[in-house]
Amino acid sequence: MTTKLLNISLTCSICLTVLLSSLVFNKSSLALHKHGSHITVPPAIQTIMFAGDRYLASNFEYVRAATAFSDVNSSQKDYEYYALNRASIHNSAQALNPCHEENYNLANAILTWGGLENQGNQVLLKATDCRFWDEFPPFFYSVNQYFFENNLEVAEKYALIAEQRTTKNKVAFKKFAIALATAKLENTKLAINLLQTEIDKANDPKLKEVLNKRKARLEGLQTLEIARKKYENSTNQTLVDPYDLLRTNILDQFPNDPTRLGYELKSGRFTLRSINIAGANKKQ
Amino acid sequence: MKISYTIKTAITLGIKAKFFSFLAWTISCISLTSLLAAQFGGRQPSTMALDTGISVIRLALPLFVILLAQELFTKEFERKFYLISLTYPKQRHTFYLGRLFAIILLSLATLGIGGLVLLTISSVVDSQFAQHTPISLGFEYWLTLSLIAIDTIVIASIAALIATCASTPSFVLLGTLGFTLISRSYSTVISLLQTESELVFHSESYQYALRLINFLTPDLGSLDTRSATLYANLQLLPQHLELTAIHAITYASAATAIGVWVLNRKQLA
Repeated sequence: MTTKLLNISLTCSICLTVLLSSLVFNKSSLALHKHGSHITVPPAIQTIMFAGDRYLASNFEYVRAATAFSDVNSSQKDYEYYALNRASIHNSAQALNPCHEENYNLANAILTWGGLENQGNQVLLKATDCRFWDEFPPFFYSVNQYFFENNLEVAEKYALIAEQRTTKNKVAFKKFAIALATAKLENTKLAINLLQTEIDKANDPKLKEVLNKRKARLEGLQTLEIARKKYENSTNQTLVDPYDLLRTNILDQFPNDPTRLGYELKSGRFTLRSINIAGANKKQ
Repeated sequence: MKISYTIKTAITLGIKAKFFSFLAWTISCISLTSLLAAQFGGRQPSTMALDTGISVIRLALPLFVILLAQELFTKEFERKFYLISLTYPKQRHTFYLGRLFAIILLSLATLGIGGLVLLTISSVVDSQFAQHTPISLGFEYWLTLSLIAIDTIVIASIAALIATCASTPSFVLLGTLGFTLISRSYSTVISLLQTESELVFHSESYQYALRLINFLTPDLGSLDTRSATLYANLQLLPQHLELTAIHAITYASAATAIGVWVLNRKQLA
């Protein structure tokens, strides 16, 4: 009887210690967030918290990522906080189980098109390494390299990796690689189509809402780019001040970005503004 | 005195110590978690069912081993049952080995039955939904289960050794759980620290110090080869798997030898 009591109390105390330590880690990581460092418990410590079971820890992280759609209806500051939080959740889920088959999909859809393309790309690179048979991580990576970095060489390299791995989409990937090599792609339209397939695949209404926000953001970018081309065709000079679009009545108003991150005019082209908090993009 | 007789007695004792209720709990835990995870996990259903099922098996087996070690070793010394079980002509090493084999046999039986239950559940879930990345329930699955068996044997031998040395039953619980935690997680921690080098100061010297644990405990973390069965690919097995397995078995036999030596020199009064 006494041994049973002892055992029960010991088990309870172990559980309590684990809970307390996780609380402390969460607290300290929240404190660290002000300086822009870690936001979730690092994967190495999570492995210990889950008794050395990295796959279980990865599952928990993925469920956290898949259920935390907190960026719906939030202010910009909150959005950035949640997005960074989510980025580290996705990254640690992929670090704990590098072959995770759904995490890279969700991370690419939500992080990359939500202003955190560097963090999304890290998840994709991990998945490309571990899932050596899967064509989608290198394909997504290639699209991102083209769309965000305009880095045609890397984009073509990864498109060819995807082409080597695939069995069904060989023609499509080959076409994509050739289009990259000849630099003839309507990139915003391509991105919107990709997101639309993600939205069609999603079952969860909240996930659909989050993805629709990203799609609306891309459509805003498309509007801006069309307006810029119109402006440049009519005036024969490059756009420097975006407000010229309103002054010349090409646009009635700037498109409304539902993620509240906005767009920026970089070297004569409109791009999506990405989240940059000091220290958050350290792993470059 | 034949060892088979000791094993038989020990198995009877183990079964009396609520073996079947534990088995029932384990099976219901495995089936509940894997079915619920397949439904609500958000991943591909059969991969998720297999993944969480293996997690439950790996968590339940050390607990089971600890319970049996407390029942078959600690209780013996605490309540002076050894006055009967160690009387002449019974030898101490027969007693130790018989009890240890009984622990191993009972926990391997749990592993086998749990593995069969998980196999059925995963194949049922798998047959209902065609997946982009299919799972494998053939050779890869049984390889994973047999490596879990080696892991259980190591933990059982350590639990028996601790139970022979310890004076309180809680030390068996704490010592075995601590050993399981460390030996299962250190290799993963080392590999994760290589990518997350900003986590600790002087991470290189830290990693070097962590690698020294390799001399103290076998690498039970690498014996978890479930990614091979989750993604149906033998290339996902870790490198030098056979060396790790041999290391673990050698470690278990060394721990058993030390346990026999300790029991032979133990003063029972």
